[in-house]
Amino acid sequence: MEETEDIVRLDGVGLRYGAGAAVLHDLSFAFPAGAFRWLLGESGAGKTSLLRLLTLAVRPTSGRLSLFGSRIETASRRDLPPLRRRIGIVFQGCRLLPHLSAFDNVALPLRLAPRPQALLRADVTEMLRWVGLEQRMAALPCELSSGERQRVAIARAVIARPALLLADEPTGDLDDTQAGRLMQLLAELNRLGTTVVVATHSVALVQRHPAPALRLVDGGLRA
Amino acid sequence: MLKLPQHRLLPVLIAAMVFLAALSGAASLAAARLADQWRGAADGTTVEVPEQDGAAVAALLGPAAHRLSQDELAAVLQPWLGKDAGRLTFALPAVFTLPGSPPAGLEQALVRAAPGALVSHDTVWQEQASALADSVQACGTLTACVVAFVAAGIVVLATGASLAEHQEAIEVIHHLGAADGLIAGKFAARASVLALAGAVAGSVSAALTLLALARLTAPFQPPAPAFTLAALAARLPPAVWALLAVLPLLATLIGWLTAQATARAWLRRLP
Repeated sequence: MEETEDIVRLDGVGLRYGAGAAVLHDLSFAFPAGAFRWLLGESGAGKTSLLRLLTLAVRPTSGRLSLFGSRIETASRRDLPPLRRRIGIVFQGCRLLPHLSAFDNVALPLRLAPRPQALLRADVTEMLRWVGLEQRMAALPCELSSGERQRVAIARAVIARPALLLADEPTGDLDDTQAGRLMQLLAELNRLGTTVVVATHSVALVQRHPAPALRLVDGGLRA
Repeated sequence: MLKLPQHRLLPVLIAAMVFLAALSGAASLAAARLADQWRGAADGTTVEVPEQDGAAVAALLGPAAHRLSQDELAAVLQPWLGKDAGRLTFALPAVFTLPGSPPAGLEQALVRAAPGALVSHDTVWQEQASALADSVQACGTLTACVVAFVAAGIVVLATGASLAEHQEAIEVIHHLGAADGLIAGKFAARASVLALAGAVAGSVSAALTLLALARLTAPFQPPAPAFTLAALAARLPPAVWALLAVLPLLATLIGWLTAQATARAWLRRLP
């Protein structure tokens, strides 16, 4: 996919929780539309904190963060939900809603979006077929294997055609075969135009799927 | 989307609150009604004299005075002495009613014309009765306010418990782009339904209780005709029926508003 305008831009961004030490400091980079980026670093390097910034779970405590051209540090609380709906998130540990079926979990972003609901069933069914779970639509998360849950999480993250997909250790609970299948899904999404950022500490995974990478060390970028 | 098992107690507690509010409201309405009746009907002077002095006192009081007939006296005594009050063998006093306050010098003139005459003006007990009715009304209003406050508190606690129980799910939905209004609306809708269910139960219970009380406190009313809906409705004033109909709507509104405010305040902790 050809890279065009920046979806994400950070200029000197820092983050600290409360009065604690800075967990991220002086981050400056940009993700063009249609990019695929690895986010690398050891545990505690700041990958999850950076993803929390990009998923609008926290706001930067210094510097400037722009998503889809909107300044986040100055945006009002009311401005954030529409931006969040343009972001797909694959959480560490899936974070599926336990009392909802696979179908309803995947349908959540569509039900939250201000769009016609008439095509919801067809869209969700097609998405579950795409991730190979069309026979498991009615299953609750507790009835799914870890790999199936991860695929439901992926389907939920991409069902609304997000402009930006953020995944935090998406292959952490998967075996090599399932991880390979997941990476094919992410690559396909990227080919269709979604900017994809995947945080991982698996060097092997990165080597099997080469792409530009950001490496975090102690909350800062290392070239 | 969100199931709220912590809300199971909410209808029961709201039912109890509505039951209390209905009883206190009915008492307040009854007190207001009595006060109005007293204010309207009781504005005169009553003179009681021995029967043999009746003619002399009638001449003294003049044409403005009305002497109660034997039938009217019997009707006055009937609640205490029964339907045979008109056939009593002992002498009843002559009773006169005069509009307004007693004329100046009336008591002194009566002492001379009919020793033992009793003069009473309605204002004395009317003021006391009105003060009592006003106190009952004030207590009813205060009780309604306390009940509304407690009901709102119950909704706050129940909604807070549900929010805490579903924190993980709410955070996920929030991250997926749900606006605060949508999430708060789900909780408010659920709280409204539960409050309405409880309030209807409380209102129906209060209606049954008030009907039973109306039956117990009205022994001198004629026996009820055959059971019909109209006869049942007639046992309580229209204002009480209106109160019983409005209370569930008020409880629902309190539930909705309180749950909305609670959920929105809770959601502000999220980014």
